[in-house]
Amino acid sequence: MNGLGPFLGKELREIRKTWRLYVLPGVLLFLGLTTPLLAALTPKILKMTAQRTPGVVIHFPTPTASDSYLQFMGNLAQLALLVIIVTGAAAVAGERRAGTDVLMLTKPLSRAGFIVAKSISGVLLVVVATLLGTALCIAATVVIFDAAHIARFVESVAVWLVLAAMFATLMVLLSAWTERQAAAAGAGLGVYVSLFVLTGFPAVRNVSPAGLLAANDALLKGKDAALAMPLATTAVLAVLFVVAAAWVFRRKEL
Amino acid sequence: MTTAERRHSAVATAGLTKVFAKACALDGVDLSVPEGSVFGFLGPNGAGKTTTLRILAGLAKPSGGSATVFGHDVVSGADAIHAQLGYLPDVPGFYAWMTAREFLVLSGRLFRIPAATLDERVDALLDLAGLTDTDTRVGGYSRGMKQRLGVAQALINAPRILLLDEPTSALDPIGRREVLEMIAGLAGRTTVFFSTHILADVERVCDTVAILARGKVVAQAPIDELKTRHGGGHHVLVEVDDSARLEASLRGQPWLIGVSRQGREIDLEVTDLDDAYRHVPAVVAAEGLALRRLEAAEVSLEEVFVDLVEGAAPGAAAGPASDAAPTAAPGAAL
Repeated sequence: MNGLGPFLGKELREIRKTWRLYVLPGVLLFLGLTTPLLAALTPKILKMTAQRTPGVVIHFPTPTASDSYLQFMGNLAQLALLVIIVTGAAAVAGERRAGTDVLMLTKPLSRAGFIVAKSISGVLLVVVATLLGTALCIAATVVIFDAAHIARFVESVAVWLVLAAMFATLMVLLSAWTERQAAAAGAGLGVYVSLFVLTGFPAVRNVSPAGLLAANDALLKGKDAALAMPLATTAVLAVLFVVAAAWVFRRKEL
Repeated sequence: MTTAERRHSAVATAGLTKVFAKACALDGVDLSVPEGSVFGFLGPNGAGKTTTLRILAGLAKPSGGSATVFGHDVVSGADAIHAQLGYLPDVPGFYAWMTAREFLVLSGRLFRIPAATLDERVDALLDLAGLTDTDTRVGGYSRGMKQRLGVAQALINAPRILLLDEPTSALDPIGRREVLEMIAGLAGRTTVFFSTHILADVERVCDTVAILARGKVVAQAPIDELKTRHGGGHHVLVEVDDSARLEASLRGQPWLIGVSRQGREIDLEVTDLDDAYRHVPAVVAAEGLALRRLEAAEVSLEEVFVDLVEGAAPGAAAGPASDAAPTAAPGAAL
């Protein structure tokens, strides 16, 4: 795979020097800090609102660390995945639009190397941003609540990361295929919505990435979740998306 | 073209065809670019120059025919070609967040140039591009600066072949002169294949040209040969005090092909310029005439270009001119 190392180095420097450094890590750090705060304050805010309305009485259970982690996982499954889809749509399409790929790919950089570098950097960004957001969420939750359920939370995040990595590589494929950021983002959103719909079908959910989308609640509550098959298929799909992206991109005229 | 000829050509295409959805961009292009030559690829806008360069650079695939660079097929041997290639597209795209130095270093690393060599080469190329003193990111560059950086990045690997698509189109006169001097300086060491429609650039640095019109090569030859062939032979302009007498005296000379007279000026089409320089003054002296002017009248590349391109246009009286069947330049006496 010619040129993978230097081009991957460029991809990682690009993350540090452009908007990519701020978007996904920024969103996850923001969620990591605000989710525990909101988990603690939301019942109080709603109680105060209810007290202003005569005759309305609302009873809330006392919020716990588990509520904080549950909300954070909900945010990962929705907001964070959407950010991954929208930003990942530019992976190849952005280079096509700017014409930068032409100067790179007429040097000893293979198209497979180009795609693999894009995939690795995309997954690395997701992993690092998630670790930062998760660490901040744990720290804030421990300060506001207590140190309970950290292991379960970390396990949930690890499962989500596999799904997020699959979406990162999916977006490289869609970006290489459509060559347009908006089209790739639209297709990615279509896959995301479809996956949510499939969580309602146990036969599919138990063997597909949809199982990972639905697993957070059970994992955080310490229930058994049969995740071996969904994890395996998601990991295999992530690799297949990279292979397919390289194949599609090799056939493209630039 | 024989297999041996293809092997010795830096670039060789045979029946190269490229068809897009609704248009035929290249229609059986045959080219042979000698190694070490500075090859001008001329043609009007839309003739297929950029498509040809993109195919040679491995960015697009031919619909038919074949194309090789140093004997490597452009489709199956792209990796081998890229290792020896410097390429500059018509509008080069750079990472806006990088500096010129960072881009050149990245380019050099892709070629696995050792760090010490790369440092020296980057310094030299930044100097050549006039970008040594700027730390501005490429996103803030003018088009001319980007074009100069484009030339520099194409040279980072000391390429065996340079493919340049309109390399001087965005440059000011000084930048243009510098790039042309750089191209001329590579002659003999690196094969330079550059497309342009600036004929003055071609006349300045190229030894061989091909003219492309409507997806077909209508001529390919060394510039002098092309002018001679398509300009209708050698011409000499003579001015004397009595041109009618001189015309009458010159008729029948074995080196004379044709004569046309306008006022005091006579346009002689001759078989050999040296013969004309030897014999015309002798005839003038024998007739007792006053010789006021004697000079070779070269047909310009522009005239050849216009003639060939217009000849290739649909509805032209004659079909596309070719090396085998040359046409005359406008006004040439045949």
